[in-house]
Amino acid sequence: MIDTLQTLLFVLLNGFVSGGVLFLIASGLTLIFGVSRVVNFAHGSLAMVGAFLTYTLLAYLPYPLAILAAVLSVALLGAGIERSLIRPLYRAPELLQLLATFALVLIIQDAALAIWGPEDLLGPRWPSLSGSVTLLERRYPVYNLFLIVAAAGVAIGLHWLMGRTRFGILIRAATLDAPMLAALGVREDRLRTAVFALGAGLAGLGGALLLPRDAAHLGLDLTLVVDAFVVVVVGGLGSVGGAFRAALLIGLVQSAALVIWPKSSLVLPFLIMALTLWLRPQGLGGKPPPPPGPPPLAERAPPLRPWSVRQKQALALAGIALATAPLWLSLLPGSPRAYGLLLLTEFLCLGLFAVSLHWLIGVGGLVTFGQAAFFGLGAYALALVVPSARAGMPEEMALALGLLNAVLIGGLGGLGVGALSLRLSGVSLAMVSLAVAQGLWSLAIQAKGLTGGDDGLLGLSPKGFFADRAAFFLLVLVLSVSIAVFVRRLSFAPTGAFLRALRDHPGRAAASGLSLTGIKLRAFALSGAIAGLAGGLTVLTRGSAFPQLASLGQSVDGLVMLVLGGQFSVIGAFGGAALFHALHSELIRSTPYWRAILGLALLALIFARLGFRARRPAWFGR
Amino acid sequence: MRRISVALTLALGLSAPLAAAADPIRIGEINSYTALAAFTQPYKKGIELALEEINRAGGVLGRPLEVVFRDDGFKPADAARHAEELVTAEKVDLLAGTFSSSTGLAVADYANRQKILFVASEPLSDALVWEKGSRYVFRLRASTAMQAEMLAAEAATLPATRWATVAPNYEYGTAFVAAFKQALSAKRPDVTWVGEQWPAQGKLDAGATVEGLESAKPQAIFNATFGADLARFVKEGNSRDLFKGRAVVSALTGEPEYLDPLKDETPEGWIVTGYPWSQINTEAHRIFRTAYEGKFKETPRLGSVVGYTTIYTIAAALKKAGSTDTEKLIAAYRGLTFDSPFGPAKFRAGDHQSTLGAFVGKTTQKDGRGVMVEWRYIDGASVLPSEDEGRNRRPAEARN
Repeated sequence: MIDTLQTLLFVLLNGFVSGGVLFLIASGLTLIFGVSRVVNFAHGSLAMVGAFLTYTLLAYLPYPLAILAAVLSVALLGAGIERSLIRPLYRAPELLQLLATFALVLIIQDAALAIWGPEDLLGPRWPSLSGSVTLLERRYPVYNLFLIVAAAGVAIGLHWLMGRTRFGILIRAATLDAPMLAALGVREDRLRTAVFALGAGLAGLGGALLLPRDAAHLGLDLTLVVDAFVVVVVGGLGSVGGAFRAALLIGLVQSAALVIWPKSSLVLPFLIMALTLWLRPQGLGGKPPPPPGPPPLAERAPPLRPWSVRQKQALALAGIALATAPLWLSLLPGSPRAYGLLLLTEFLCLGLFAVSLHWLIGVGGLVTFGQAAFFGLGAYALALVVPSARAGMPEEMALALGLLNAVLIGGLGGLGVGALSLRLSGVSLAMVSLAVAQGLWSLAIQAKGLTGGDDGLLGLSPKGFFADRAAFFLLVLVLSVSIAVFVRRLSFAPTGAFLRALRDHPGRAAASGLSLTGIKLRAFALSGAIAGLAGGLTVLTRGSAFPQLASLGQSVDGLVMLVLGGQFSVIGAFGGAALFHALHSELIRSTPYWRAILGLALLALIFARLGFRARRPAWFGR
Repeated sequence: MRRISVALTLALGLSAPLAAAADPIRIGEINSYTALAAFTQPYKKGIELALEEINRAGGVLGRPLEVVFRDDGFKPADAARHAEELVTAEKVDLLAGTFSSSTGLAVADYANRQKILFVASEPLSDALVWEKGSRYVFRLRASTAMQAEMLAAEAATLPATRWATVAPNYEYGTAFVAAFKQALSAKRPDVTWVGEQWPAQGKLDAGATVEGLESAKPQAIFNATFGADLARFVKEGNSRDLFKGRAVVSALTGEPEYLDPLKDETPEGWIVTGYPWSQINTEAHRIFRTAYEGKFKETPRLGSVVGYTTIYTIAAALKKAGSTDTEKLIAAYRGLTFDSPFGPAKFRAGDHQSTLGAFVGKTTQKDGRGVMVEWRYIDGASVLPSEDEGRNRRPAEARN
């Protein structure tokens, strides 16, 4: 009996602790989103900076003051970021907003690496809270109880702020109807800066409070922000109360599940999210989204035009140059044939991946941040089929079967995500797709029996005819060129025209009798299938499959390529892939700070594009 | 042509100044330089020290040694990709390094496919030399099975019979727990295994892990977590009295890279493997330590020894082989004897495992810092199965 009671009590307490920490981080994110409609990827980075700053300040100050100073500094940093980087983005397309804040993640990460070094910095205990108390004959740390109280205090404080103060009323008004608030003479820009600073401060507080029981380390940023995303999606975008309930729910379920099924820890939050979205797409505390209207002017896509003769000639030349690469590569000085073919094969796989994104984002206007889910599904679909298929049939057949499976599973995954996000668009869609991808990534890590977990699956290089790099490269070339041509032609066909109608004006498309759900599902299925193929080919190129293939980094890489090359054309997808891969391969060979360089380049590119659009509105006119 | 002229100048006795102008022998070194900096930064310094010493003495085969470093970020896929880049673009003569067992196995897979030598310095997985062994892969550090054997010998003397385990959920952790269970159960058939926790590497949830162990009510705990996970686990365990009245046997915890950060949290009396660097007074270690501290103005960690020794074994193998040819290097590595700061050791021909040992002792606190006491060095050869048995655990194609 006492055992059951003990377990119950400690499960509850642990659930409150992790729920409380989740809420501290997520509340700031959801506040910022509510007021400014910007999903701040760098939110976890701000929390990480809070933890690192507290660690440094502890050398001079006692804990409470160090935390206070860190929180204020992070709030100030947040205000600075909002004024300089976020403000020009308010009217930018979501894709650019998300990528810009992700660029910030990369830059802050390398800045932290340069300032605090790569080692984990273990926080000292908070002296007055370092003891433990006896509860039901078991010891429990006082600090954990303090965390529960602190999180509850922040929740109550936010509740009071939102309900009882003028500032809070303005925040709620801005969340509901920002243009109306501006029309009433409220300085929206100041409000946004203030809310951003508040949100950043909350993130800093969350990070700082982690320190006494954890270490400040460079991996905190993405871990925290992804957890916070899940909470925000479950709670309803922009709803603080919803975030509170969601954080509590996830904390408790996770804590209970860990006792019963310890290996489910990473996957569970994403399961809860999928369930919530299925039953209540707007989240626990969210309001149903308004009917879709036309996207703002800045997001209008250029009209689709057939290729000119000159363009066709250039493409044919590029094709010939690629097809003859195995010949001319060996003529170059230093005989870089093997490495060159590897680079080119990887480039084509990435290009295919970018094409799958182009179809969703460029043609369909469906911004996804979780394309790696399909890439990873395809990768494992191939990796799990090929070894057993090899036993019973010739190598080439086994490879074909594996690739077919990759396409199939990738397509099914696309259907699944499409079905899950049927009623979503814009930022909600981006976050849901991201959370699904993170869920699959966690599954790949924790389903060790199937996927090998972090150890991955090895021994998957093609044998026989395609063991030759040149032969395999030509196979990938043929596949990617045919798919690129197919996608291009499909954009002009009715399927593509419907999809473009959905992108350009969902309301009118629906009024014309188009089935939006059907179009969306098909778009996701095709995109998933192409990404799956890209994942399968990548596994064959590398000879191994690892969870990394389904990671957030993979999704973002694809988006960066798309932005580099231009999201509205197949050529842009491949061009972006080429540029990205060349840059990336060279940067990681030459500098440890390649992330920051990539981030800065990305920011420069985004701002250049925004400026370009502001000057040339006629291009995107009605 | 160039090599012939080098040989000529060597013959003329002008070796030292001119040899530096010769083409260097290139080693491709892949490791988790940012993800596990506590170990890998000292490791890199160990390599730099060894390179400096060897090249100052004229290099090997009249050519200087050069190391091309790549950071794998603890990601096996990146490690394997770096391996391919190092071999095809940088044209390195051999591969070395890796920290985690999964990156080690990924690079080993590539080395085996491309038939290039890979000197695995730190990954501990048994599979690397046994079940997934390859004729192109040699491993320096004392493996999970060896360290488990050392620790189990100590654990068997404890009265505890109810044991629980906690280890990261990847190759290293699963291999270590399996090896420790087997070794201890063999010595003590009365032991029962009452609980196990498998936190994801780098993502240990301290509250839940301690909760899980506590609810299993073990008399003793075997731990194989390290780094930030270990720190979190120890902190939470200390405040919840998890370790009070319980024996703890803990892999790697005595290594300064993981012990130093624990400071005043260092638990008392844990039985650990590690590296009591400040207390080792052998001649070989003294020379190494003086040189290391002189060059870097900091004390060595275990990573320093592993990096330093890795390069010296490569130099010794190159000398013995008289060539950078992979087949000749494999022949040289088999049975290669080498000196290390821990004393002489050799690479066994049967299973490509080195006999470099490890230190076993107990943890305690001195002036708010963790140190190892009651330690002794255990020779790797004494805890390994016979070479024939090792060979028989390898795949057929790795045995010749």
